[in-house]
Amino acid sequence: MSYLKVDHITKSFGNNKVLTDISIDFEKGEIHSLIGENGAGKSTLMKIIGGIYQADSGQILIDGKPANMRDPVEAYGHGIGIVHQELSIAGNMTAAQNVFVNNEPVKKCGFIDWNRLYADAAAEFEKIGANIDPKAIAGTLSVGMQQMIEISKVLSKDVNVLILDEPTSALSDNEIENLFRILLELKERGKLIIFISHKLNEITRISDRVSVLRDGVCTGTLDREDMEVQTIIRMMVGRSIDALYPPKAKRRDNKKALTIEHISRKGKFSDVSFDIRYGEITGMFGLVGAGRTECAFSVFGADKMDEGQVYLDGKQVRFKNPAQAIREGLCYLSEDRKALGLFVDMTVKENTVAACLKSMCRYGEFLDENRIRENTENYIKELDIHPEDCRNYKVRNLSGGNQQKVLFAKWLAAKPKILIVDEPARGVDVGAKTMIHHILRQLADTGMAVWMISSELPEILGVSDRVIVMHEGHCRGILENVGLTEEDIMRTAFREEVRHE
Amino acid sequence: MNKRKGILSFGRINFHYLVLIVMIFIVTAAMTVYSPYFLTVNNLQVLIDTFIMEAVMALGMTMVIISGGIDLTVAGILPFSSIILALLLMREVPFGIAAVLVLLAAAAIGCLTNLLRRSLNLHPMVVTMAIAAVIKGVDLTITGGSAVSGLPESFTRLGAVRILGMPVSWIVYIILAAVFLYFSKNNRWFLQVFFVGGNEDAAKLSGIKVEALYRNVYVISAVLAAVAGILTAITYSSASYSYGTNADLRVITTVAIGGTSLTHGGSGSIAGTLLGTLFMAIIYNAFVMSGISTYYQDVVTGVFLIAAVLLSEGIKVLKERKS
Amino acid sequence: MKKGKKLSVGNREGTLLITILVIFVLMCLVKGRLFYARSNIEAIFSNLAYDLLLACGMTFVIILGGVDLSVGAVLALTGIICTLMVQQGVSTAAAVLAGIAFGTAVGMFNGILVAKANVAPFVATLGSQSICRGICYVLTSGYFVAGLSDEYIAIGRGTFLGIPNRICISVLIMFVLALLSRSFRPLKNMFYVGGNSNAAFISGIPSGLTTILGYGISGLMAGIAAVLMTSSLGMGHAGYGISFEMKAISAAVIGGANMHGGSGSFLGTALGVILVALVNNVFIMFNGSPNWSSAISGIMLLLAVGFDVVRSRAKAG
Repeated sequence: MSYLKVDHITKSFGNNKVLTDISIDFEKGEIHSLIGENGAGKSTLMKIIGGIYQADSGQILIDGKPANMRDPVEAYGHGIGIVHQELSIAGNMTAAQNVFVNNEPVKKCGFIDWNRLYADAAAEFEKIGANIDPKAIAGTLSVGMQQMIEISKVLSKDVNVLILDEPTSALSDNEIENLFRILLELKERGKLIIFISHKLNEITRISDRVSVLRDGVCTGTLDREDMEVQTIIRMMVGRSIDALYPPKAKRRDNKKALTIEHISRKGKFSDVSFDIRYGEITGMFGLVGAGRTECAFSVFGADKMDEGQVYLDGKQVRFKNPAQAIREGLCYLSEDRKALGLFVDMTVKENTVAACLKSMCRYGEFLDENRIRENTENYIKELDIHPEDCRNYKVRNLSGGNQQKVLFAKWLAAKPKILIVDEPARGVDVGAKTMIHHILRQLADTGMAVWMISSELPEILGVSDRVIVMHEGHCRGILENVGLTEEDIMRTAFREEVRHE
Repeated sequence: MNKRKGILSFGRINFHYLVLIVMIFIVTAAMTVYSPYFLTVNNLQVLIDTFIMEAVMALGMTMVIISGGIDLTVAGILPFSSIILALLLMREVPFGIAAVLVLLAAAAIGCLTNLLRRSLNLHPMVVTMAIAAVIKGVDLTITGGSAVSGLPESFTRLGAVRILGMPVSWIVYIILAAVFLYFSKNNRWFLQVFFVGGNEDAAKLSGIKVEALYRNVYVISAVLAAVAGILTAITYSSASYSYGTNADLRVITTVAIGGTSLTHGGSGSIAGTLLGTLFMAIIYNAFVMSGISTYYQDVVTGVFLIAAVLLSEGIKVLKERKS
Repeated sequence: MKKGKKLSVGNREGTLLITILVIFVLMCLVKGRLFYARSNIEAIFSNLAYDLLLACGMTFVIILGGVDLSVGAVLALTGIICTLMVQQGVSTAAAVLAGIAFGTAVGMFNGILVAKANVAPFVATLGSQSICRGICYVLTSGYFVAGLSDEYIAIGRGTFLGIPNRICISVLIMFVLALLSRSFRPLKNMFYVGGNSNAAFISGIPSGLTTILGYGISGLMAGIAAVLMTSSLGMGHAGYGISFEMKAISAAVIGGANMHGGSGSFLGTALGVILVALVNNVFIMFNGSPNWSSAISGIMLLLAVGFDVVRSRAKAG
C-alpha cells in the first residue's frame, strides 16, 4: 500500500476550478516528480498536501489513514514539509534562526539555547553538505544558499515527506548538482520526495516516477522505464499545437526598429546584443533567471543600464524612465499583470488610458471625457473584451483573460511603434491565449515591431519569426524560426555547457 | 575562535551604537563644560525623572515597531491609567488591586487595538490614533479637565520611598529594562517578533501564530504605558489628563534614534532603544540646563525623528550599493 | 436592512446626504428651537470652512495612499506667520501670499520626504507636525498674536450675499478641486499613483512629482485655512488646529476615500465634514461637553472603515 495517497482531490478558487478529481499514490523511498505547464495546478496540489490550502472535496491518506491538515504545523505533525517556490526566509535573521524558527531549542529555564541552536544548525547544514555559516544573516546569502536553509529547516523537523516546489529555477548548475545529490541521499534514507518542476531533463534524470498534470487533471503516472520525453510532452500538452497559432509574417522588410549593442547590468545580464525589426515578432526565450525581463526593463528605462548602447530607428537613446520610452513609441507590457500592469481597483476606462493620458487632453492638460470613452469603446470592441459594457467596471471584477486584454488595450492606446510583451499569455485560458497571439500577429502585420518574451517553448515556436535565446544573463544565439524545434532552442540555450563537456 | 566571535559580533551590530555612544559623550562633555552643575547627582536625578515614563514606554514601542506596527495609544493610556488608579484609590480600593485593574484595562485596550487593526485592515497608525483620541476624550470627561489630587496618604507615601537610594519608578524601570534586554535576546517569543517583522508570510508558513503575536505586542505596549501611568501617579501623587501629552512622539523618536527601523519591520534592538533613551534624556536635559525655551523641544524631537529615519534609510542604501 | 437598501441612492454621497438630513430632522424634532436656532446652526458651521479645506487636501493625500498628520500644526504656524507679518505692518496681500507659500512649502517638504527619501508618510508628517507646532510656541511663547489690520480681518469676516467669505471661499475651492480632480491631468494622476504606484511608473506617470504635488496641495489648503481662520478670529495662536488632522482624515474616509489609496471623492469629503460637524453638535446638545470632539472623529473614522469592510464582505458574498 502506498505511503501517501491523494484521493479524489478537487479545488476551486472562486469560479476558477484549479484541480479536478486528482488521485495519485506516492511511495516511501522514491523521488516522485510532478510536471505540468504553468497553471496546471502543481503548486496548488502541493499546498493542499502541505496544509496551506484546504481541498473542496477528497482527502489525503497517510499510511491508509485520512490526515486532516488545517495548517502547515499540522502537516509537519504528519511528517510533511514543503520547500516553497517563493523562499520563506526572513532576510533579517541569521541562517540558524531561520532553520529553527518556531522550533528553537530551549534550555530548562525556557530561554533559547544559543549554543545548541548554532551547533544544531551547523549539523543540519553539514548533513546536506551545505557550506553555510550558521551566523550569517540570511538576506546576504545567495538564493541557492537560502534554499539550502529552507531544506534544512524542513529536514530539521524530521519529516518523511519532502516537497520541493520548482527548487531549481533560481539555482546555478553547481547548486543544482548539489541539490540532486542531497535528494538522492534522502531517498536512500527512505524519505518520500515530491519534486515539482517543468524542466523535462531534470525530471527524467532523477525521478523514479512522474505524474503529469494538465489543466487541473492528472493525465497519468509513468514509471522510470516508460519515462520518455515524447510521452511526457504528449501527456502535458495533449493537443496539436500548430492549429492554435497564427500564421507567420507574410512579408519581411528587415527594417530595424531597435538595435541593442553589448548592454550589461551587473548581476543580471551581460554583453547582450540583438535587434528588433518592424513587421516581425521577435521571440526572446529563456528560463527563469535568464535575464530576459531585466534586459527589457533596462531598455525600457525602468531600470538602469551599466554598459552598452541602444539605437531606436538608428538614433542612439538611453531612457532614464519609462515615460521617456513611451514618448518615443516604446512600450512594455509586463509579465506581472497585477503588480506592474493594471490598476485593479480602477475602471476599465481609466486603465485603458493610463499610458496615454497626455493624448487624451484638450486645452492643455484637461482630459477629454468623450475622447476617453471613444478610445475605450474602440478597444473593447477590437479586443473583444467581455462583458461588452464593462467600460465602468472595476478591472478586479473581470476574468484573467479579459484583464490581460485590458492591459493590451492600455499599451495599444499609447500607439507604440515597438511593443515589448513579457509572457503575454500567462495565466489566461486557452481561448484568450489564442486570441492574444493573433492580436500580436495582426500588430506585426500593420508594421509594429513586437518583442515577445516567453519561457514557454510552444508559444515561442508558434508565434515568433525569429528567436533570441537567453540563458543565465547571456544571449546564446539568434535563430530564424524556420523548421525550428524545441530541441534546437534548448540546445542553443545550453550551448556553452555542452561545449565545456 | 571564541575571541574572534566576540569581535565579529561587535563589529556586526554596531556602527549605530558606536555613533550613539560617541554622540552621548560629546553632548555630555559639552554640557559639562557649559555648566558645572550638569554632572551633579541632583541634575542626573532630574535628568532621569523627566524622561523615565518615555523610557518605560519605549521598551514596548520597540517591540511594536519591530513587528512592523506603531502604537499611538500610549499617550492616551498613560494619563488614563493614572486617572483610573487615582479614582480607584479615592474609593479606598487597595493599591495592589487598583494597579492590577488598571493594567488589565490597558491590556484590554491593547486587544481592542489589534482587533480593530485586523478586522478593519487598517494601518495601525490610523487605528491607534483614533483610539488615542477616544481615550483622551474619556480622560477629559472623567476629570472635567482638572487634576485629580488628594489621594490617600498610604499611596502618596510611595512617592517618597527610596530603595537603595532610588525611587520606585527607577527600580521598576531597571527591572523592566533588564528583562526586556535579556528576553529580547533569549526568549523564543521575542525572537519571533523579529521574524514576523522581517517576513510575515514566512512566519505564517513556519507555523508562528502571527495574529496572536501581534495582539501580544500591542498588549505589552499598552500595559507598559499603564505602568508608566501608575509610576507617574506615584511620582506626582496626583493624576491628570495632561500627563504624557505628546509622549507618543517622544517615545517613537527615541526608538527611531536607537536604530529600530520605522520603514521595515524586523530590524532594531532593545539595546539600541536603551542608548536612544539615554541620548534623548540628555538632550532634553541639556535644553533645560542651557536655558533655551522648552518650546524648542518639540522642534528638536521632530527634527530627530525625521533625521533618524533618513539616516537609517541612507545607511541601508549605501550598504546595498556596496554589495 | 431592506429599508436601508432602498434609501441608499446606490452611492456614497447619496447615503451621506440622507444620513445628514435624517439626523437634522430628528434633531429638529427632538430638541426643537434649541437645535435650529440661528446661533446653533452657526456653531455647527463655525469651523466648517477650515475643516473643509483641510479635508480636501487630506483627500488628495489619502488618494495617494498616504496620510498628512501635519495639517493642524501647519495651519497654526502659517496663521502665526501671517498675523506676525500683518502686525509688523506688512501689506495684507504680501502676508497672505507668504503664508500660503509657506504652507505649500511645508507640504512639498513632506512630499519630498515621502516620494524621494522613502520615509513612511505618517513618520514624515508626524515629524513636521512636531516641528511646526514647536516653532509656533517658539515664535509666540504661547501668546495670542493680535492687533491686525482691518483689511486683513475683512478677508474672513466679510460676507458675500450674506454668507461669510470664508465659507464661500472654501466651498468654491472644494468645487474647483472636485471638478479638476476628474479632468485635470496632474490631479488625475494621483488616482493612478495611489492605485498602483509601480504600474503608474511603468505607464509613464511621474509618481514622484505627483506625490510631491499631492502633499503640496495639502499644505496649500492648510495655508489658506490659516489665513481665513486668523482673519475671522482676528488673531493667531499656537494652539489653533490641534487634532484637526483627525477630523480631516475622518471626513475624507467617511466621504469614501480609501486609506489604501486610489479612491476618494471631494463631494463625499464635503458631506463627511458636515456629518462630523453635525454629530459633534448632536453630542454637545445631549451631553454638553465639547471634550469629545476628536474622540467623535476617531470613532466615526473607525465606523466608516468598518462600514466599508462589512459592505465589501457582503458584496463578495
